Amino acid sequence: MSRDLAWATSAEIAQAVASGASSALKIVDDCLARIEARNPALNAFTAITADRARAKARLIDAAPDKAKLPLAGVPFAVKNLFDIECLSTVAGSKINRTRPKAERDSPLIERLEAAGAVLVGALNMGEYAYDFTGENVHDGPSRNPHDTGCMTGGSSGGPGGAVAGGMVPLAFGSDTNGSIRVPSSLCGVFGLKPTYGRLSRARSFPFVASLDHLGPFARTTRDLALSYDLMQGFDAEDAACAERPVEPTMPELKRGLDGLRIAVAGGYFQKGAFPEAIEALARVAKAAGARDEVEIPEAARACAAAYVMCAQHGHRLGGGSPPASWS
Amino acid sequence: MADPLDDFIASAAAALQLPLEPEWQGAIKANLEVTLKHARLVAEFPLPDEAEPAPIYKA
Repeated sequence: MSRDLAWATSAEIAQAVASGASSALKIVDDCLARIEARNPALNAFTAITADRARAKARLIDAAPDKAKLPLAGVPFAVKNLFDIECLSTVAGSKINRTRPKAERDSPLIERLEAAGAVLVGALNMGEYAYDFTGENVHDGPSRNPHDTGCMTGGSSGGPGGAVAGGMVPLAFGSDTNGSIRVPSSLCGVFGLKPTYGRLSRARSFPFVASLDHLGPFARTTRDLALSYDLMQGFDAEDAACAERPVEPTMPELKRGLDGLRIAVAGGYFQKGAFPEAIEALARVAKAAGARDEVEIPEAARACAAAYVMCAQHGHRLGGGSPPASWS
Repeated sequence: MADPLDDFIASAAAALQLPLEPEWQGAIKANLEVTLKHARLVAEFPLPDEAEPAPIYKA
């Protein structure tokens, strides 16, 4: 009998499929069964693409080169602001439910699936990503797998809950003002907000174009690096995407902390923190060898500026245009 | 004297032809007050008149 891969990493699943120890279809069927069992309590998924996922899994099982696919048979899901072919991109909102169905997947989904990964659904999020809680007023709150009485954090609540709840090993969200960092922290998993302009945001529903980032959630940093490397690369469809060569991160992992200088942010960032948070920070800082504290100038004003920018961009989220009398 | 923020909300909504439900007035005003508080903090930062936004950053 094959090993239970419910909590396996992406790399382990891909290895099992590549070696023939498991079929992609078995992986996907087990994943869909877990989603069905756990989603009523966690409310991480707002759409499950079961037929599409099984069809894709069968293709991988039949592919002669499946051993070369770095994410062979790895199930993943995306925050529901990524375009998924044949679904309306709701971005957690009520208004967008009547939008036409997307004609094409987001480029990040295409790149992940080209590497053998299998999309299994769309994930819950705070309305229009203007949120820190993951509590969606239309779809209901996403719930924290460590304690379903607690929030996941947001706005990428579904990705945090889906990965921490053992539903998928990989999920993808967006971060404008903390929407990957907050839920990955609160759900106890790893999240990556890449440098601005490194991952294409084409065919995703924007919040604040100058601050939006897409990025992965995973249970290991290796899985973050693996998926990040596969999603990199210039895309002219996102005007802010940097024309830089791919910089693979996987080979850097073996260096560990070597060459990194880590300090603790003081001042504004510690104001109002509970003693438990300060203690947790001290432990992480000790583990990372961070001895110095740095003061980031004008942090409070920068946060205020981000707040104002979100409010300013947010006013047009419903897709409204000025009255005709203006033109 | 009427609160100028109430007047502002009513005038802006009218100019945008945006219908407002009366029961949302309080929440709209509260949001606007918080945004203005943050905007003041940003605007208080001294900048020369010639300063322009830098839309492209390169390392």
